[in-house]
Amino acid sequence: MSISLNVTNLFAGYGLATVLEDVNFAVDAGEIIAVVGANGAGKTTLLNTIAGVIPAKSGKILLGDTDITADPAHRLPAMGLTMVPEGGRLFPFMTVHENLEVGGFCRRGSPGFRAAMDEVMELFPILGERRDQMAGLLSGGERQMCAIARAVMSQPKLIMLDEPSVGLSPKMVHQVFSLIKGLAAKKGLTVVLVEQNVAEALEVSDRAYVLDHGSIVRSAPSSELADDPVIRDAYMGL
Amino acid sequence: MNEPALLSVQSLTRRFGGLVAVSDVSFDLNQGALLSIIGPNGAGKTTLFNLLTGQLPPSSGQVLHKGTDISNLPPQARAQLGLGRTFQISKTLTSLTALENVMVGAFLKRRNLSEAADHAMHILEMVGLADRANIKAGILTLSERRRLEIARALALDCKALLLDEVMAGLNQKEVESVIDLVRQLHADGLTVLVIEHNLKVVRAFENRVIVIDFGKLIADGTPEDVLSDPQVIEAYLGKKSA
Amino acid sequence: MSKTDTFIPQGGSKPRKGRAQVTTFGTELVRILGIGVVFAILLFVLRGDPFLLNILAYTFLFGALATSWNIIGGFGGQFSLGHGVFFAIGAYTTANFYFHWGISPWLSLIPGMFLAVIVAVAVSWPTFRLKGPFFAIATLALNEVAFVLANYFDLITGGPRGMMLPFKAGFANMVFTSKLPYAIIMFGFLLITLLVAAAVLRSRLGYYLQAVHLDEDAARASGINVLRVKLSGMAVSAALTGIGGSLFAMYIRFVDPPTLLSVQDIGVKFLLISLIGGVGTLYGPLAGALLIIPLEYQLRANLGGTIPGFNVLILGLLLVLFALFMRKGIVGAALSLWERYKGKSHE
Repeated sequence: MSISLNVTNLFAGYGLATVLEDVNFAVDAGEIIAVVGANGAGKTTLLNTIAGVIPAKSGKILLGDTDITADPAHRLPAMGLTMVPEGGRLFPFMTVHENLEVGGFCRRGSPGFRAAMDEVMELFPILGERRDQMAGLLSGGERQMCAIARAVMSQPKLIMLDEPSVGLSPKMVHQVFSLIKGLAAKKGLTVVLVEQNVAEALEVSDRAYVLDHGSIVRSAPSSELADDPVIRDAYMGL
Repeated sequence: MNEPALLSVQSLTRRFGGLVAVSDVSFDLNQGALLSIIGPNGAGKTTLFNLLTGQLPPSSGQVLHKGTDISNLPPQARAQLGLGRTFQISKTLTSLTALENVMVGAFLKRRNLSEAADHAMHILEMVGLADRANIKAGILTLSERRRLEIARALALDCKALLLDEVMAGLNQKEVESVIDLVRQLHADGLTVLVIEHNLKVVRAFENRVIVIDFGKLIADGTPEDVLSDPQVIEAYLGKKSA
Repeated sequence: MSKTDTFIPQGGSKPRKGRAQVTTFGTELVRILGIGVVFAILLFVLRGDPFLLNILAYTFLFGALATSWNIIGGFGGQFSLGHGVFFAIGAYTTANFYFHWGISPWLSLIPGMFLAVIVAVAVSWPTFRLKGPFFAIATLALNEVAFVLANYFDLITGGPRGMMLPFKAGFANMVFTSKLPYAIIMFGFLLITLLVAAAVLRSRLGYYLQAVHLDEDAARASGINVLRVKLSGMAVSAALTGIGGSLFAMYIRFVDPPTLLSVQDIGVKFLLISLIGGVGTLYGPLAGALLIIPLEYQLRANLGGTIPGFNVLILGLLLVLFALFMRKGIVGAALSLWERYKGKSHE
């Protein structure tokens, strides 16, 4: 089950500052797209605006056919849009199991809830081992996995991830990205992946957008962008 | 020059449990220098900065000020020594006026109210905020608040200024004006250390650059050299694993 | 331009005072004298009415006590719920010196003051490290502990029965037959606290207290020793509060734990008055007292004290209303209006 996302003429920011200027992008159902850019380009702002954490100043966000521009963050998981924030943001004093339960809260009455829990434990075996451990005690990689699993619990159609590679060792990064790719394929999810680590992001995605100082400067299939100097220039300040 | 460096970092390491945030970093900041410290997100720049400003003590290694060990000196003592700093999340005193904000810094070396006020006014002129002196800091623009923090640090009669991502959130024009201000202060003899994300800014300063990745110092040189170093580019863009 | 040790700023050494608008102690002095004249006239007008003089005396006293609290609570932002303890120390010290040794309160308010400061600093040293509401809770606990101790150490405090101070009229004893001298003493005390508070606010300590209140990290980065500043503010505040306690003891000539250490009647009242009047402003606490104290008397007179604690209910309600609609208090709101008016007239 997947869904499309369409963002048109989006302006957003914090307080008086406008961070995103006229951002347009589209994700087809079932696609994995990456949004890459240097730090400060506005990647997190973009996800936060789509996820309803901060209000858009103007523009439109369509989830499938529904206009979600004005919807507050807590309504979106029930509509099929879930975000994995940077660093995972688990509840440190709750166990892994409890974190997962909270993730599935919007589906708690549904018949799929039990099945979702079992499935998640199967997809992420390491969480099964650690299910009664406090989330705050997990290692960086485990935390990221738990955060993704928690998002999966809400049975999303579209999942957004904010820099899942931060703080992880290169080996761990590769593991997490493989997991994301496999997960998307298995459940037919649409994925929007925001990343600083360009190489990994391009490897795992179908298409990519390059964000520089709040505007999209390039959009192309990921295979084409891998050696494109526009990315290097955007990152290295040229 | 036998004089010890204004700030010297020697084999500085900081661990948080099993995680090594800063690993064996060494460099000198000489009097009158302008040094930029860059690195990708999560590289350990903030931790390094906190070690320099006294918010964290090191796990091992030293921070030296003109040869004296200040590794465990708390932040206010470092400010008293003449190491001024700004904050990444603007920490202006919002219900005080711009002038009063700077006076808080000025009072360090001047006990008298009118002396502090005069000095503060002087500093505000230097950073171009003189006509906003009596406006409450809470209503200043972000760019003005960044200048105000710089002004408050300068009012300490500081010898070195440590800027923590002072360009964050500023638009192109504002960034240029802050670059000009910092360049001017540097030309007047101020020693400056800059933590920066925006690599355009670092190129604009045209001074020495140090790159941190995974807590380690991986490059040290001019912007042109450092930013075309394949190891540095890889640190920023990421590496394709085998 | 030499690259010497000290960074020497460019751009002229002539101070241009014209644009620097900083309120000085001198300005406040004039304002305080103005207030003094107004109250002096009021005292003169009401000199024959003991009922009104009594209200005036309490208004001045609590205005002064709130002003003293405000030094650490408003300027410094450290919400102490334990100032009742310093008040009680002053009161008990003066009571003991007068009762046992016949020493004049004019003299004994000095040791009372010192004792209050010592206790304040000793208790604040560990508790100032507490963040957020925990400091307030710790000071509240201090007040409760003091209550228990006051009941227990009856040799010093007279225990639960308290101490009745004999009526021996005379200036040296600070005991008078009419209310007017008391009102004048309280008036004098108010002026003193206003002057001290103004001197603190318009000085380095005042700026440092505000900086510590607004942002401790920024304060440290400006070379401020946060703990030392808090302790200094607390010391001044506690000293004045102690003196207030001494004066109170001689006014009602009776001290016991409920009278001195009831949080709702004393300790919290300093806070409430300051908040309603405008915490953090110089004259806010006085404005709060001018509103609250006469109002309390009015309520008590009308309801005849039939519903116990009713005055606290009203105070609490007032506080909620102010918190919702006028957060900056009376003086704070007035200042905001003034700023807006000034801003508009400049367009």
